[in-house]
Amino acid sequence: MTGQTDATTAVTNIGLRAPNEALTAQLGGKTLTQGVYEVPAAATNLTGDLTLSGDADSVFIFHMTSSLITDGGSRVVLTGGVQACNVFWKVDSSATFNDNTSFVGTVLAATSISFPGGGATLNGRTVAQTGGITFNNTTVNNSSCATSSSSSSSSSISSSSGGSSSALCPSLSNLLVSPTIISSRRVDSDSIYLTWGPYSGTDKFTIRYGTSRDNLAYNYDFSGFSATIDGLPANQPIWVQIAARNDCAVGTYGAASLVGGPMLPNTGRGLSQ
Amino acid sequence: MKLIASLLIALILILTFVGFNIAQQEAKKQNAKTEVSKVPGNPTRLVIPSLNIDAHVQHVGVDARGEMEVPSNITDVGWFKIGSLPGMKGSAVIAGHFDGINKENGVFVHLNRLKKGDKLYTIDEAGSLTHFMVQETRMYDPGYADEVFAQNDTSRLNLVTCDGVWEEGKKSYNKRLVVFTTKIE
Repeated sequence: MTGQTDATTAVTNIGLRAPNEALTAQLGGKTLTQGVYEVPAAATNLTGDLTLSGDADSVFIFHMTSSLITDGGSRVVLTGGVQACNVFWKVDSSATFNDNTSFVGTVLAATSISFPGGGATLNGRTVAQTGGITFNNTTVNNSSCATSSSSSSSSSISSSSGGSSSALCPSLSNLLVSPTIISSRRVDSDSIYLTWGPYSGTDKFTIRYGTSRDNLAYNYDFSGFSATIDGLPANQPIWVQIAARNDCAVGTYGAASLVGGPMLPNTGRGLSQ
Repeated sequence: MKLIASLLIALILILTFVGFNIAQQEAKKQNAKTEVSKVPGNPTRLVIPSLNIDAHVQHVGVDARGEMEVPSNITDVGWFKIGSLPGMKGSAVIAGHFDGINKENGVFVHLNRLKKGDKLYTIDEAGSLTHFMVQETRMYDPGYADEVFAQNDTSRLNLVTCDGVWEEGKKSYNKRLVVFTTKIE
């Protein structure tokens, strides 16, 4: 699929960049300036705060040679105007963000990405090449670059990698079709499954959801045409709408759709329940 | 004479043309009215002639446990206001009590008597009627039954009540009865 090809291209491009510095596995407590860093495997790669210091054009690339694992409550902190859109994590296996992690950047994982602990926040995007992306009460905010600096940061990546920046930021012009939810069902009290289409030039989408049609307060980015969303408000009706996207912009959302429904009502013996 | 005949023919042609235009405009107005009336408003009454039901429709949501709320008395029915409007695309769902706290009959006590082909209708706040025909009846365990609330292309009105055996410990019957109906023109 094109989206998977894009993701693979992006990961390959980043992987081709030689590291400026090989770091120890634990990033917590460090303050780094822009550069390409290689980080080995460990039981955890982030305990406490990692501070990224620079300006709006500073680019940070982390190559995790195995997995990326964060401790609960760990944070990536940006200072000096560093933009989340300029932070990239190339993970050679899977990324795991434990509870209440506050993470930043585009995470490109060779296998899967999961947020098992709940309460985590990602200011960025997730792309899993072969496996799934599992959210659990996770807040994901898109990290579009400010207009003044996005072009310079993009060109910086493309020129140094020798490739095209389109791998990370293809044109939005072909995302003309608002996705339609083809099927949806409740998996259990706090989980739903949905499929959508059609393919209109991308397999990247932003899913927006909430407990009422007028309050779709949560969103996350997803690659593919189906998703299981966990960690939802239990036993509540869930409304969902989907828009096609690329790494720079989100297209027009399709109609909001109610997923499944509530439990059947208890209408026996008057109001005795 | 020829001049008079020509004038008469011209007059007839003009009157015919004007009349045709007026008729066209009237037809357009009628079409506009029809279009407007096709968009239903919130339902206010549910009428099922074969069960002698003519019930006020309350608007209900979801309770804290995730169950569809029920109407506040046993004579009204409750429309699931988070779902579709009766007559619109998707499944509108209306629930009614099976019985009252003293075992008196609720509005839907005889819902299981509905048969395929039976007709019913809702009345919306503008007084417009939307007609439905019974397709089938299904029995469910308590809990989720997404197909009852499905948001597909078919315009359905699904009626829900309790069935089965009363379980005192759970304060609930052990089954749910759903009558699926589809919109008819």
